[in-house]
Amino acid sequence: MKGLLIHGVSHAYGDNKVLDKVAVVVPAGELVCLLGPSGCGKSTLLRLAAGLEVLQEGSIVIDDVTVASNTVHVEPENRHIGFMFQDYALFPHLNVLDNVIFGMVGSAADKARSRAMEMLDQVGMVDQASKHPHTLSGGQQQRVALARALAPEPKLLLLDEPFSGLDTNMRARIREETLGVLKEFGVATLMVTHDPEEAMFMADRIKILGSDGHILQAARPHEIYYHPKHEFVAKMFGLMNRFDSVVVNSQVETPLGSVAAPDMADGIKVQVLIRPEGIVLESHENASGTAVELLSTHLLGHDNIVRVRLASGSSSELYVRVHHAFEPELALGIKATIDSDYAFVFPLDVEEGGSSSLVKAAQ
Amino acid sequence: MVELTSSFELEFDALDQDHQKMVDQVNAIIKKIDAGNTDDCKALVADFVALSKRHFAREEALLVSVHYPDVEKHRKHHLDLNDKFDHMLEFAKMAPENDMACESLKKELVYFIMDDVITADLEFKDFLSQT
Amino acid sequence: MTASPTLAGSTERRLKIDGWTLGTAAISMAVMLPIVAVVIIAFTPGDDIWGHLTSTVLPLYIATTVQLMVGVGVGTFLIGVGGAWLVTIYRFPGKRFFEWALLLPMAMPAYVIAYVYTDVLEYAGPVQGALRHLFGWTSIQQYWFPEIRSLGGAISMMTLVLYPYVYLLSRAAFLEQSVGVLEASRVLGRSQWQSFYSVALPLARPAIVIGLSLVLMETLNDFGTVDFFAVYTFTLGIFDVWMNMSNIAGAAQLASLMLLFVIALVLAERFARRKKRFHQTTTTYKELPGYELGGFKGLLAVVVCALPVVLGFVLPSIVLSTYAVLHFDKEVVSQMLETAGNSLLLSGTAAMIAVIVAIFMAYGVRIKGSPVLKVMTRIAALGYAVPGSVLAVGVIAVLASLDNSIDGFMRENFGVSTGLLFSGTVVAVIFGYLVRFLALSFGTVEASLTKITPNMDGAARTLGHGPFETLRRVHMPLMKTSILTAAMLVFVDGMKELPLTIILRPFNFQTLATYVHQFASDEQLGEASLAALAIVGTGIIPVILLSLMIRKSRPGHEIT
Repeated sequence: MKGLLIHGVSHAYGDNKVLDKVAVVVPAGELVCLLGPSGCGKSTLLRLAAGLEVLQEGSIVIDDVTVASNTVHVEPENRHIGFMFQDYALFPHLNVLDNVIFGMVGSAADKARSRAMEMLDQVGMVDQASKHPHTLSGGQQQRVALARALAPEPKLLLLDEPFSGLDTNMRARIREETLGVLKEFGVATLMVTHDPEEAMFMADRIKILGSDGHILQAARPHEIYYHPKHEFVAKMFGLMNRFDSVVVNSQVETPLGSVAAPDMADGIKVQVLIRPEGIVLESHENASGTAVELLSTHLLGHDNIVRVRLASGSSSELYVRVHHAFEPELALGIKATIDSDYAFVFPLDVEEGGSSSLVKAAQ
Repeated sequence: MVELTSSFELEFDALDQDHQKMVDQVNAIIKKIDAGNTDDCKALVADFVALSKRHFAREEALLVSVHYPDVEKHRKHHLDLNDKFDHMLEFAKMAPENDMACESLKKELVYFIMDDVITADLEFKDFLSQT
Repeated sequence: MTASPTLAGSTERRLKIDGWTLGTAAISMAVMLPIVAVVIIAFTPGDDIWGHLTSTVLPLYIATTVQLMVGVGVGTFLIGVGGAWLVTIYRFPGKRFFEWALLLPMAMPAYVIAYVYTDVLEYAGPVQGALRHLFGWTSIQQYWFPEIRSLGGAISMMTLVLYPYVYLLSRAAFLEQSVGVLEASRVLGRSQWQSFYSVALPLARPAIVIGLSLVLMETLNDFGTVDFFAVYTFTLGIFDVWMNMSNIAGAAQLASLMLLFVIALVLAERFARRKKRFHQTTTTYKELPGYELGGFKGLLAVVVCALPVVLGFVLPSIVLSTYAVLHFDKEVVSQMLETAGNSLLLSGTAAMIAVIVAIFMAYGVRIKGSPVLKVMTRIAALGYAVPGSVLAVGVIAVLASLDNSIDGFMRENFGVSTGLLFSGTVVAVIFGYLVRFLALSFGTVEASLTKITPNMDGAARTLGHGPFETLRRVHMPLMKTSILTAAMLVFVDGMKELPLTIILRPFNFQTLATYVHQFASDEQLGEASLAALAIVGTGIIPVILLSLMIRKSRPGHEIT
């Protein structure tokens, strides 16, 4: 198979196991994103795939050639891959064009040059070809790094947090451009990021790596967001509302109504996690649902974050994302219900530590 | 098209044959879609789902019989894939009318067989070779 | 280039023979060998003169060496720390000038100013002559004049040229200190002096200790001064036992005893360096206050700063220049050029090899990252602490046994005697320089290498270049300046080097340093003054570089 196959890869630094039996497949032309918190073994996996680190356990196969196993280690210069580093790692003593030419080992000088110019044209950097990296902006450096990685026509492209060095308003644009270039090249790409939004935007498939080095879920972005298989995965996308309860008749009762738990046995203690957009507020006369009390609203532009409390006097707060125009001053008798697309039930005994998102507890 | 090269072999005939059958089925579906023939997509995918479930059952039984220590973990992995069957079937139903459903179905099938099934199974390749 | 896509560059992991590890290990061992040899010889039973030594000269060697070290330590501490404190904290006329001028005596080897001051201050010299003329004295019995050729004289000479080490490091430490700490101390009711004593000085202590240990290593290393002044230190003792008693085992025994002093210094230095990291109080800097010193106080500051510069550099330079002009003739110039040629050959070659070896070792450690390799390179770079005389004993021993085994091998197999191949050749001298100065080049190269992010290696490697190509095309260009600096440091120290050169050089082979030593010892400084000036001239190069760095550095920037 053309592309990348990684399986059974475990890696530890001393006692700290950062990868545990990790498997990844990236078919040619596809972009797979490895998403995980900072400090998990994401970047290690990239470095192993590149040969910059020596594999401890498992196998790495590129285009059907085993490049790393417990008996084989192909040096990085012989793997024919492209690697884009978080800090871009452009050579400061070479100008943009020479940076791009650097990787075209074995092709004639004039050929390499015209190919490099072609690449720079692709990323819109032809005008800057004779400049040195330190005179470029972050976005321009990113483009040069991409051109440099792609110029030797690698079998596999590895991207390590490719957009984290860019400021927010620049990031969205560069991300789109990069995706365009990658799709045009059709090169198998493995990208690593800690930013879920970035992963969902870029990837054909997302693999979630937990802080214990296990792959927790692998699926297309839609499935990751709407069908998280793991509490940790659900919490990756930010704030969650939480109710603890018990399964009765494959249903879980919460103060805001019941949620289906089809695969769970009766009597299991569970938590129900609801995304802020999964709580629906209505304030017209014949609105159904549980009465809630409004605490405050925060307009973010594209949506509102509304803090509410159960009218029953329970002290817990709920966070609600409201997408339509919402003026609390005009609201009266607010009722809340659950949109089950955004509500997930997990057994309570598999508490996952190290979650970065804030979870509000409720009774 | 999916091609099952040696890197993906468990070197355990019963399972490799299962995998090959599933790959053949996936390839058949992709071939039909690419030829613009999407009418029996739904039936073919349903067959594929049934085939996959049989494979899972057979594999779990085998793992139990050889006392594979992580058999529970693998069973849970199979269980987690149920959602994917639902999605595949939904896509297959839409395939005749919706081109994006066709594309997503193809992708979903390829990743399912290559990553979710075979690559995940490679985890016990070493264990099987020792028994 | 690559024939088969499947196997190109792939290696069987277990069978890998790794050139970098082997090479780095081999070089480190070669450099460690002379020191190891000294210890081995010292502990090999043979004609043991140890008992003889302890009952006769050893107590004298120890006492003299300790006195010399204490004297030079105190002297360099006072001048170095005092000068650094004045130019960093106060403002007075000429402050900017003294900031770098205080470094100038570094260019002056101790033995050179020892010759100069002896010439100037001895009975027949101009100073005493002038005094006699002035007061009408006719003989030494009629007046008292300090004897320059004494322990006190040696302490003064070394202090005058070695204090810049302490100055440089303590100045950097004072600059690193947050002005806030000093101001807090003032606000809390301490006077300027108390603040210096109770805040600034303790904070700068690790840097001062490093400076002092470098000074004392140089003190132990000195041969020219103590030889000329007949001050019986260890170094002189080693020469004595070896050259006059022809007893290499005895010399080695003295040398290994001396190594104890060296180990103490190295440990002090290492310990201080480790501590230094915790002494950096803040990361935000403010221009230091610059208390104005006006009137008498300002004048005093100028005098205090000017004195070491004048005595340690200006005066000797003037004297040497005057002599050079007076004795200028064709003979002197041609002699000077010939010896300078020899010096250039030795120092230049040593510098080149030291830099290449340093690059290889530092890069080997970088790409292999094995802890064993790291320790080995650290040990290999310890040569700078070992006095030249001790190293010379080790180098001779190593080369002699190498010569013997080659000779034996050739005689056995081919019936030819090769005799002494390396002993007493320039190869021996260059090897000696390499062992002693490798630390300079290695430290410089390594520091610059760590500034290059490992992602540069990763980028070059994934773009299809092997480790060697990566070094050549990425690291070398990026380290250009540091490589030149490293070469320059080794070169300059090689030009000044005396004890190793004297022992290891081929018969009748003169470098600038040995030439100056020989003539000055015969009270013919005039003939050697041009050569001495040449040494000082080369010594000025690093001083200029350092002062440029200081000029450029503002508080908050690294200057050492």
